[in-house]
Amino acid sequence: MATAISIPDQLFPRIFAAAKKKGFAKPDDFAAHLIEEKLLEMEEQEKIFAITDKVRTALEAKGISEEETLADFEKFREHLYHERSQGNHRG
Amino acid sequence: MSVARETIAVDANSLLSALRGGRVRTVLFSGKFFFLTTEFTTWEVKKYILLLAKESDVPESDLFYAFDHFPITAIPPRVYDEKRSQAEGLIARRDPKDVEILAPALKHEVSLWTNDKDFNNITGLQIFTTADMLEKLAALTSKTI
Repeated sequence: MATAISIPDQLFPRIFAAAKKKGFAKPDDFAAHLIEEKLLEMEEQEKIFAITDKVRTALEAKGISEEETLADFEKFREHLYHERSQGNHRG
Repeated sequence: MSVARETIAVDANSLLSALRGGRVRTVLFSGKFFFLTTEFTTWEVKKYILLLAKESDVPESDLFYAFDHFPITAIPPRVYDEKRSQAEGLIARRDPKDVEILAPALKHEVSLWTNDKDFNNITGLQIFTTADMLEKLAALTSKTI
C-alpha cells in the first residue's frame, strides 16, 4: 500500500536526477528511501538525546553544574596532556 | 535553494558539553554544519566518559554509544601535522593542549567552535562560541522556513 504525498515543484528535478544517479528506477522509490533513512537518523538522535538527558538530570540532581563538569574536564585534559608529554600515552 | 554546509572544527569542551546533555546538542545534531575534530580530541572525551559514567550512574556503554554516534569527523594527526608548528607558535604559550585542535582548523582554513578564551585574537582564525553557533543555527533555520 502506498500513500501519495506532494513534493514542491522546485525539488522534484533534483530528486529525479539524484534517483537516476543512485540507480533507482522510480523517483518515488528514491524519495521513500530518503525518508526512511531520515526517520532512522531521527530515531537514533532521540536515543542519543535520551542518554545525554539522563546524564544532565543525574548531575543536576547532585548539584553539579555544566560549568563544573567542564572545569573538571579541563583539569582532566591537563592531566592527560602531562601524562602524554612524559611519554606515557597509550591511546 | 540549499547551500553547502559550512565546515567547523569543534573542540573537546563543546563535545563534552553535548555528552552532558547541554544545549550544544541542538547545534551538533542540526545537520546544518559539517563538524570536524581530531582523533586526539575524541580520545580525550572517551577517557573522560569513564568518570562521567561514574558520576552520573549512566552506563559507560550508553555513553560510548551516544558519543560514537555524534555527527563529527575525527581526523588523524598526519592530516594536519604540517600546521602543528604554526599552531604551536600561535597558542602553545597560552595552552599547549589547544595546539591539537588549532592545527586542523588552520590546515582546513575553517572556523573553530569553542568557548575557550585562549583562542581569542589568533591571527587567521575565526572562532564561534556556543552562543554564536546557536545564533547561526537560528539564522539558518529561519532561512529554510
